[in-house]
Amino acid sequence: MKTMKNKFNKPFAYYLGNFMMVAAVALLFFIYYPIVSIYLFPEGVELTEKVSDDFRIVIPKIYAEATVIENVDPWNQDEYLEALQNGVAHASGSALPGDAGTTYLFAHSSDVPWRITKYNTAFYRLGELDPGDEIYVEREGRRYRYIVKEKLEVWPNEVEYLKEDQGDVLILQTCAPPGTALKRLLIFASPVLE
Amino acid sequence: MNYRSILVLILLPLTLFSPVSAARAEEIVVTVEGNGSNSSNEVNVQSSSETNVTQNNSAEINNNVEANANTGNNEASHNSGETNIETGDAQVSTNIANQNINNNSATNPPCACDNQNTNISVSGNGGGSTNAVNTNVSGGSFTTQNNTANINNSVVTNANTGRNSAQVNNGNIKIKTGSIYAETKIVNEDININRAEDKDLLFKGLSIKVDGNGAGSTNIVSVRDTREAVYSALNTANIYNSDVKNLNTGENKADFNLGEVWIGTGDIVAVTEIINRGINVNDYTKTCDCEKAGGEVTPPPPVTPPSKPPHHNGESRDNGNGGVGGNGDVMGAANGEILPVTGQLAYFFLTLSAIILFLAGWYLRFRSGVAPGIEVVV
Repeated sequence: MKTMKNKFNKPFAYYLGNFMMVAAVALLFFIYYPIVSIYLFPEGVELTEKVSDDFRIVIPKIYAEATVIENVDPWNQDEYLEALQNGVAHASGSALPGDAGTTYLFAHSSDVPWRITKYNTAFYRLGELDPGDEIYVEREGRRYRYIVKEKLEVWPNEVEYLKEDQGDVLILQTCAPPGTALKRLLIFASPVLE
Repeated sequence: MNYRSILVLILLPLTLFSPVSAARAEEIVVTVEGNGSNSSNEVNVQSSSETNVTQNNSAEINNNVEANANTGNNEASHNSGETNIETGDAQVSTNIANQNINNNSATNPPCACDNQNTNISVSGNGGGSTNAVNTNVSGGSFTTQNNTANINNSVVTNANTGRNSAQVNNGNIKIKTGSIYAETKIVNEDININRAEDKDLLFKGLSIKVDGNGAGSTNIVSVRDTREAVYSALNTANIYNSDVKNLNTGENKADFNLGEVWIGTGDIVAVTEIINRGINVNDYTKTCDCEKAGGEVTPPPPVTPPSKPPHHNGESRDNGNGGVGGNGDVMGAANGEILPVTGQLAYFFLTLSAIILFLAGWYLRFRSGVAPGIEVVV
């Protein structure tokens, strides 16, 4: 029998390598847990009988519920990024729910992991909406119901959807694919007269 | 000292550019004060305002449609062999739309500069004065828009894949016809469209004062503004659209044959689209142009867009996509703008960092050999 004793002369590299692999796995967990938890432990949304006076949006299918910040300049990045930390932004100049014209709301699909909350990434699962799904917008004690009719992915420079009136329609915008700013996902929903 | 002042002011050239607004506020004040001995004073002021808008429309639209489709009337008799007659579909479609025919609109709103103040004062006067003030402001703005539209749409479509006959045959007979699709679409839209808009051009705040006067003065002030803006449009559109299709893949006959007969026909697809759009479109506009007439110009107040769209509490909201709302339609943006950035690249970079960290650790871990203190027995 031949016995060979390994002469370990790189203990630091060995332990550092182990540490780095463990740290990498931990980092991945830290990054993706907030997203995974959205699917594994979705927080239910509530449509109470009493309609809120606040401006908010509720999308039951994707468990989205967020406050809407009114009149946010969509061309001022500093302004809307600050607003998006607290919820969904309503583009200034676009119609308010109940008014004739296009209502344009936009929100993050993703944020840095340590800032992800239920409210500032409300539109993470926006791409799961299909024609026929319901969207509710509440404002000043009134609830407006919309039905999704179309979804579209456009390039960021296709600003006509924001600049030009598209008729009586609610447009929801977020970035696509989630985690990037490559394209814009637009959801078009028609108001339903109750 | 001779204070004779003769001022004759005739503003004739304005006549071509001076439409009259029915709602214009007019104010003419003539004052011949003092007078004096031997005076002969005469004041003649005539002012008339007239706005006539005449819009006559006449439209006669006739739609004649006859569409027939037939795949029947097939006959098979006195055949000793096998007879098979199979016809395709016959589908006809006719669509006629007459939209926005004879549409007029005429507005003669007053301008923001339409505060006419004509103050004429021949004051003082004097001994042998002859003072005369003649002001003549006449009226105008006549808008006439006459339209006549005679539209005749006639569509005749006859389709047939039937009327096939197989009689007195000994062999096998097979007749198979194709399908017919015939579509006719006629659109007459925006025919005889008129628009007219008059706005004022006039001397604003004209003030003439012949002061002092004196002995032997003869003062004459005459202001004339004969206003007239005439617009007239007479449109006549005679449109005759006709589409006749006789389509046939049928009427096939196989009679008195001894052997086997096979008759097959292809499909017919015929689509006709006639669109008459934007015929006789008039647009007449005159802008408010006070500066050319002199005087101080007060520009209209700037239009300030509402800070937010009006809210109707939802009662009057239209459903679906109908109509374009009065708000939210224009939002300013400079060239090169992009839709709001609502995504973060942090995920990408963090994931990349984690992968690099893992691979680097992997490299260090396995490059350094086995774990310290572990014996490998071979």
